[in-house]
Amino acid sequence: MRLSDLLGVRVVDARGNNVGTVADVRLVQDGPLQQSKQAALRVDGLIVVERRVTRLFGYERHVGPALLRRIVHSRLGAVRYLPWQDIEHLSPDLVRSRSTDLQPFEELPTRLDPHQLPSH
Amino acid sequence: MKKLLAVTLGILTAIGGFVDIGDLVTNALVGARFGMRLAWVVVVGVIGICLYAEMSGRVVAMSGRPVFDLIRERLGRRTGLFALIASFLVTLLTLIAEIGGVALAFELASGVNYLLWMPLAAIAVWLVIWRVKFSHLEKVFGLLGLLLIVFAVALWKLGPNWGQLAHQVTHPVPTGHETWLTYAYYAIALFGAAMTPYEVFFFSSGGVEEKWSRNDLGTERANVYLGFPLGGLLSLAIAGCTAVLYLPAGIKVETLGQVTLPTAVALGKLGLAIVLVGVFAATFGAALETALSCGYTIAQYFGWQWGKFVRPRQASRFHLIIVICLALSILVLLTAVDPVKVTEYSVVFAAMALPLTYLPILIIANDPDYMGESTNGRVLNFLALIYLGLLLLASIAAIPLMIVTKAGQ
Amino acid sequence: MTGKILHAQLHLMDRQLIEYRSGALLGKVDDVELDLRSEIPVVAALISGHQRIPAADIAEIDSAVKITPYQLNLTKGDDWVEQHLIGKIPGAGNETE
Repeated sequence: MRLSDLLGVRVVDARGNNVGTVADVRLVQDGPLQQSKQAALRVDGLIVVERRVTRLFGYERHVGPALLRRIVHSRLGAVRYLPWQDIEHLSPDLVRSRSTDLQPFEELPTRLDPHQLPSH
Repeated sequence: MKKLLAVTLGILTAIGGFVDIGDLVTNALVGARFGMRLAWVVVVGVIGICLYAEMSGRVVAMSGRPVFDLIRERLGRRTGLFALIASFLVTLLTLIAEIGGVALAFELASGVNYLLWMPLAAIAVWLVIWRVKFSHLEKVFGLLGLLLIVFAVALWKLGPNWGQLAHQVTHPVPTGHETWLTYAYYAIALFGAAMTPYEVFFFSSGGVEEKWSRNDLGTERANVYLGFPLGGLLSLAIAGCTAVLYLPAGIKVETLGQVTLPTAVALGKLGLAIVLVGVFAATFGAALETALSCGYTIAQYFGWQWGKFVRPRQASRFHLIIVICLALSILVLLTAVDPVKVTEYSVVFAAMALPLTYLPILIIANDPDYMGESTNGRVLNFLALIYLGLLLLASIAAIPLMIVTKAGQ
Repeated sequence: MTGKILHAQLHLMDRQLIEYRSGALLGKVDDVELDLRSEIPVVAALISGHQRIPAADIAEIDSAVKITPYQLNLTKGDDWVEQHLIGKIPGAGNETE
């Protein structure tokens, strides 16, 4: 599946209530080793925003300036995280969660750990 | 001397923003109509371009990514394409005007009609881009453009009533037949010119050409904090000269000849000779800046190989864009359109391009993925946000004001 | 392996593609192909124009995506312009002075 087809897809919880749309896909580089001797980028879960917005400008993470982040967030509504193992159904039209209560994205660990971010 | 040579990128970039052909005439026109009552706009513009050019240079030094990479990356393909079209048109229109400007400078010096000089000017610009190393090009035209400092000498020699000029600076309101609308129109034109998008395209791409790394942050800042204030100073000196010479007599400035006249009045033939070389260097430098920026923006949007740091055949599409833009310039100028008038219309596209150019720079200058520890501080972010608001305001007001005032008439 | 965390759209989409060894600029990441059917869902490839770059070719991801494309030619457009137009102008292969 292409990323562009997944972004913007509607997400519902186990009861069928609207949660929002897919805004990004969180990847962790700990998948199976590839020919290049590097770990594959494993799909860890989906970042879901309440309103239909396809660009987060990187503001799902805690970077500044605070005012811009606040403006972007006020347009996004709540930002939640849907881990891969909690996905019951995924198609180009709909993503359904197994749980009824999605965790807010900001509570995820490692988010603030700068060593986890790609640096150069 | 070595230090001065290290900041020629900033100087050449600033020339394109403050004293290219459109600005030479606009500055002189504003001085003749409003005196120094719009001087504050130049100061506001210098601070704004310093803030954002420094951010864009710092992003290059820390990550190697020039401005249009950032625009495409944060705004995406669609909005990025819109930004590309708007900013490319500003840059192309300015390039057309500069080629005309170089030819006009030759007409002033030789008496031969500029239309004959114009194809030669375009070919000369191409030859320099094709054959001359980036660091040589920025040194020669950056330093020669500084000859325009002769306007400051001329102003001093004209022996103006300094108290009166200071009074104009501190009373920033329109007088005489000027209305608030024309005042606002020229304020936005000056502000837009000071922060014109191709300055950051050229400056950041120039940083890549110069192979800046995190060790070059000092050089990067010296370029910004010397180059742009120098550009602003030249622009104020020009307005000062015409404020002294033309404002009391009620003469309106329309031609390049009128722009250069104050130096002849104050300093005689030598002054005129120096200013003609300065005008030639500034317009030629701005032509190089805009021609290269045409190539930089398109190539960076699509991810093609660009730059003068590789041989021309390795960046073939980049060089093809520049050839096409220069050929287009010749064709447009052959219609005998007034080169100075061409830049007036670029305001329309600048209005659309300005916020879209500067927003991604601000976002990424705060992103630790790119910047590591060198992200923006709080004070810088505060000021940058104020300027983003100003840019948004200017971009909303520009087109209505242009229509209502019939481009400042 | 480090377990580096990336956001697919933020860190991959619309990024510059660079040849890992030479530093040549190769294009932009226009899309990302995800393999969601295998037991462990992974990024399968990057899409640039009509070209598909297998994930195994990715060498490094920072402010740009550095790749070692073994069996791909990503510079067809540049090559065509070079052969037919720019390469024919004298001095095209020279360093500038």
